[in-house]
Amino acid sequence: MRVLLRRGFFYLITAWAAISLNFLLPRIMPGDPADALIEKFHGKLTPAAVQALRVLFGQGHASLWQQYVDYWHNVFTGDFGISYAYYPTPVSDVLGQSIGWTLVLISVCTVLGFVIGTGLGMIVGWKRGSWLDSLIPITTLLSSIPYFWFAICVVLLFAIVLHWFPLSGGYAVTETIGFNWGFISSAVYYAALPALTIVVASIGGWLIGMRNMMITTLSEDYVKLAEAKGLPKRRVMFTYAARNAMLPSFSSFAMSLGFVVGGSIVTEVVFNYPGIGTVLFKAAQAQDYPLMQGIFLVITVTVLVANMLADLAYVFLDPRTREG
Amino acid sequence: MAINVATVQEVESTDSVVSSRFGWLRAFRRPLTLTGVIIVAIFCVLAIIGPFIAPYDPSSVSKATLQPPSPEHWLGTTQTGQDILSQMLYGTQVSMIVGVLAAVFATVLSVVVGLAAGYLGGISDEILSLLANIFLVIPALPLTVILAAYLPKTGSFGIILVISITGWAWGARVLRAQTLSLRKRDFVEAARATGERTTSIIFRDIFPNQVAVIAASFLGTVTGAILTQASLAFLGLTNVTEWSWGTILYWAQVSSALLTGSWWWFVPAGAAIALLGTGLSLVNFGIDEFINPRLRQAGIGTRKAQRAQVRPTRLKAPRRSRREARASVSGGRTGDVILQINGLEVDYVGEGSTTKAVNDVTLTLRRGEVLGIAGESGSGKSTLAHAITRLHKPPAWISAGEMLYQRDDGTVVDILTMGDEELRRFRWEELAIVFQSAMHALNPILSIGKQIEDAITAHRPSMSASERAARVLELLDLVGIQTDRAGAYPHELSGGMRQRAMIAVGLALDPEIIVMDEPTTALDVVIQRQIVEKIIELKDRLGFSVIFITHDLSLLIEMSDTIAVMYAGRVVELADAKEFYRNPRHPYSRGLLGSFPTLSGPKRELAGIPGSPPDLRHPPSGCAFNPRCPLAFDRCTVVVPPLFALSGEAEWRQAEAACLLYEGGGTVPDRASVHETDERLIEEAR
Amino acid sequence: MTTAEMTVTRDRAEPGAAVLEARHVTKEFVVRGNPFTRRGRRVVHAVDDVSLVLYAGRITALVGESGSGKSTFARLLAALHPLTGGEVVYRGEVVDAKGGKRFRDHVSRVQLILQDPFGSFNPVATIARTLLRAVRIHHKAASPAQRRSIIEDLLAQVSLRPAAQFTRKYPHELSGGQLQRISIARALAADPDVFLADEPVSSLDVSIRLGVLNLLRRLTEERRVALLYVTHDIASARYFAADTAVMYAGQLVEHGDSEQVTQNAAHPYTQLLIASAPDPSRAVENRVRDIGQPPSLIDPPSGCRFHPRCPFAMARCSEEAPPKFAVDDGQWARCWLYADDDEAAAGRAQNADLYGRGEIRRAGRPVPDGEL
Repeated sequence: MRVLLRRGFFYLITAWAAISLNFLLPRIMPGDPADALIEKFHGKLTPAAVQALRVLFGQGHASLWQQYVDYWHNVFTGDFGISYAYYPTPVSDVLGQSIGWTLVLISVCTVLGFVIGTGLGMIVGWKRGSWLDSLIPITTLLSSIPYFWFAICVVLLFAIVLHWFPLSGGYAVTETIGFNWGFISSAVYYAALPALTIVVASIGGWLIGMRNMMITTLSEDYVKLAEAKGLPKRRVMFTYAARNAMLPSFSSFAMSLGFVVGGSIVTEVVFNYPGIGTVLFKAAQAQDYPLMQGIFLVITVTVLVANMLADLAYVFLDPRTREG
Repeated sequence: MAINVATVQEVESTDSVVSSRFGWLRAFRRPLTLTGVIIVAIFCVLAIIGPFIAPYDPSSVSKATLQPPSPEHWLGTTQTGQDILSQMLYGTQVSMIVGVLAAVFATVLSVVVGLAAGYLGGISDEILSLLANIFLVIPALPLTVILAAYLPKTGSFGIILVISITGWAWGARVLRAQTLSLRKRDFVEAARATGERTTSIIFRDIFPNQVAVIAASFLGTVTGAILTQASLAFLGLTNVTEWSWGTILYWAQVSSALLTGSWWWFVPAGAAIALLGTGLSLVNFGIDEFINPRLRQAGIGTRKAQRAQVRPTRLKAPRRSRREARASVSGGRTGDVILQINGLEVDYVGEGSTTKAVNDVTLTLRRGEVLGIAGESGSGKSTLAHAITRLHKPPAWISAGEMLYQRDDGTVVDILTMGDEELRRFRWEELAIVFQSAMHALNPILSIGKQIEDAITAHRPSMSASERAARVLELLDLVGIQTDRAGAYPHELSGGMRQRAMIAVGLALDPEIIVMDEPTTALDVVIQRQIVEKIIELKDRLGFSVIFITHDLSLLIEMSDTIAVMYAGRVVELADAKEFYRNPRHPYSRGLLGSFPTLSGPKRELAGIPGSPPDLRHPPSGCAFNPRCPLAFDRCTVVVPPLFALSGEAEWRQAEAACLLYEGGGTVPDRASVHETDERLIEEAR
Repeated sequence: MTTAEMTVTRDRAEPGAAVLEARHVTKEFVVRGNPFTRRGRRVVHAVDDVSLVLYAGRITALVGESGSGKSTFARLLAALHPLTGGEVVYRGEVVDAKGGKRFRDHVSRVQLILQDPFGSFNPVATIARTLLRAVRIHHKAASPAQRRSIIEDLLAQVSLRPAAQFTRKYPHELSGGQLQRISIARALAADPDVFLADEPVSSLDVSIRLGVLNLLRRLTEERRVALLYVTHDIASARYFAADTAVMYAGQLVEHGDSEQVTQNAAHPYTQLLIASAPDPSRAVENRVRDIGQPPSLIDPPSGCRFHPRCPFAMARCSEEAPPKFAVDDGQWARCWLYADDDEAAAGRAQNADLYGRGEIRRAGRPVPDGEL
């Protein structure tokens, strides 16, 4: 229990640090982006929007502390200002419309990538020294490919040359968003290619990590003893070798998750998928700072929650962490 | 502890990859690593000479728009007629500079933070680690995007800064952990005790031992930085008029190269990133295998041994000897042969050379007997223990011999010819093993009760859950563990309790034979005594036979019926334990026995054995002991002595010694002359 | 510079004179809990009020199980950890090793030799490099050529000849015995007065242990240095050390002449240790009935720390820590059995009976606190 409390405390600090960083960045950056933005919109902004922008960049008259308090108030009420890329939609609405797409796509793909990659890594590690080892250079190549470029290649092959899947978007325009069969099947159909990209590109890392840990674990005495006990091979592989070999994968989940999320976000751009990534791309193009900050916050908090879940799983898997 | 070192040595001496000054060069001999090095080198060269060999100005437009690859434009042209090959060559320079510089900054940052946190410890460690962990869990790309978006587009330098700020944390964490473990290593403490300054310790002891890890972290960061730069450029967050692999992809995406089918526009840039990334990862594998010897073992070098293990070999017939005749007596009474090992040989297959770790070993184990095997590090005793249970792993393999096991009903099987399933059923049901370190031999994530139950479930599938649970409790009680500890995990038990748990696991199926490989070496004497007494008590009660392996001859003499002394892979003396203690025959046994200080009785003069055990890769000719033997004569360097039977002993525990002194009617040196040589030895040892 | 000049630079104490002395040395390690609330903060009482004297040219053994605090005690004498209480006295002066200069001064007089020869060398440095670093620290004025000859001389003193055969090698290319000799050579570079050898041979094969121990004994006698031999092997203490001190759970429980302590142990723990050690030379088979284990040093038992395991424990053993009782010439034990009363006498009779000794021991004389 104490472990969980400590980890929870750590995540609170991290969330606080990330959110405060988000507050601080616009204030410490050189140049004057606010004026540049206001200039760009040629007076199309309402006075309220101009005011909001000045507040974002700390140009208001309130003290820094007051600004900070207001900022926290805004974070908790979900008020991130108004998006310029989607003017005059509030940032929270833009986020609300796109977050669901990304969440479903990435969580499904990350879990799939982890399960398949770790599973394959387990088998390759178990049969070390066999022909399966020749998979390693291939998976290395796969894991070094930029996600978005792989996405481009996939689109070229499956959408443009073969016409098996749609080129871009999240669902057929003929469908209405809602909980109906037509929409869901269309969404799944449209998500197939982005999902394929993310899963294939993320498998390599998990596979190699697991293979190496598996080999290290296999020379442990307890695996040898399990064999000596005459346990069935499957039991030795799963309960003795794999369950122990998997633990480091879980503890390095944090880094890998950030990596996968980052890669997936850029992948969305290629598919023009209606998720956070595409929005981020548009925001970056339009220098829509409020939107970018909102996206950063949402992604960070989501990743933190995912990490916490991974930590929970770790505590469940490894009895040694349960005390002290 | 002593034997940890011993067993590690035993394995590593056969396949040691040295960490000497140029040892790391060996890592590059692996074809994969070499490929990686070549790829990286080519890219480095291109990055330097790229702009000079580019055929066109990458930004100049021409009328030849969207041309596929042709002799004029090897990689085709863009929508505005720019030459893609030239863009690629210029881009290589920018991407590589960003990647390498960002990695240099990030690595320097992580080395400083990692070393400081690890070496200083205390509150500074607490704060630095927290900082690193925070940077680790904050997803890097969105943060990078934000930072890059806020920075005025000053070009690559800003990007380098941003990438190094977001990319140092992982390396710092790894290096901190490394430093922490290095700081606890003896050589750091030794340096402190010599009076070294802290800075000198950090730069000469800690830092050089982390070079491989730092290099790995550096190369990984280069890959990451190039990928990140490409992503940022692709999102249009860098200066898009500066050619890099990422900006090429950006323009391709913005100009809908995909829809026009201009594959040549975006394929080269992505392929270059992937290829360079692969090259760097391959180099990193080389480093990984260099750091982690276990990965090395799984490498290609051991193919031969692996095949040897997979292939069900017909072993060459063991050397026939008269001992075999004795093996085939039937029946189930105490004193009858239960395991007969004939001419067993175990080889370690190394790169180009083969080492015999166990050489022509013939042993007999009788029902209810404790057979003690004594030997120092490198004597092959642990390899023998593993071979008996067929648990040896490549690069070790059994090249000759037979191991005849006699079942209760009198049928005899050769353990070495058993198929997988037969072997699985044989193991634990008939023969169990107890390892030296219970800490390592128990699965850390399963409760001890579960680990006992596992063995029962595997062999007695018909047993009900409640019967199994009852059996687990019975076993725990038997070895002296409170039954309410069945749910305890190994880390929750003390060293002695863990070893008891190990024994309970071993007894789960009432085996006929238990092989005990240094079961008490890691324990303190008082706990060792508790465990040994328990083993003897259980053996008397349950009637199993024990093969007890240890380097501690005193302990072995106390608890064994028969003793086999091993030296350099061979059994050099075989005798009744009490008789052995009174009158050891082999000069090695004599020297060994003379090395142990005694607690009771008058103090006798101790004599060690000069020299050190032989290197099995280059064993001495003739008798392996001859360079250390005080009684050696010319023929000892020529003839490998077999075991000679010694006269006047008990009938079925006849003493044997592998020494030319006992050849046929050879003269056995009388005690007086032996004492003289002992005296000389004492002088020498001083 | 000749060999003789280089090796004997320090004026030696007379044989038998006290060189290094621990007075009531105490060490507590703090296990940090939560840095903010200080919850979970625990104190490990690793060494508790230990007094011991090391004499020039004499070997003193410190025997105990793992976790008894014996290695920590050696490190305290080497000033590698700060003391929590008590003091270390070197030739009559209280040691103050705070700060780099004073620490190095102390270290040049008191050298530690570690247990694991394979671990105590930097794996990426040659032997020459490792030795050179030690020589540089302790022979600052020497020229490079002199340093080389010092290294050769050091290796010659530990019987590693020719030096060139070892200096160019890396640690993994040498055997454990050779490495341990080089460890000793490294310690000799400082030309110390005191050697603290922490289990110097327990990682080595039995057949080569004796050579290393004999080397240490020779150096002790020739150079008149004091040697603390820390070991778990009480039998080797009998052969190797003049005096033996026995440590249990951070405290000294018995001290005396080695032959006396091993042949006529007074403290029940020492007796248990001896009865447990494997020894085929033992005439009578005594079955040990002990099932206990050493106590936690975070929360040690009250009174005598051995009382929960002691077959002769009396009521007072759990209440009050026993003082030292002088039980024989130069031998003392920290045990209530040697108090001069009827209950203790009965305990002594029971003790003699259990270990099959004909003669029942006499009561001891309480030793005043100041006397060592």
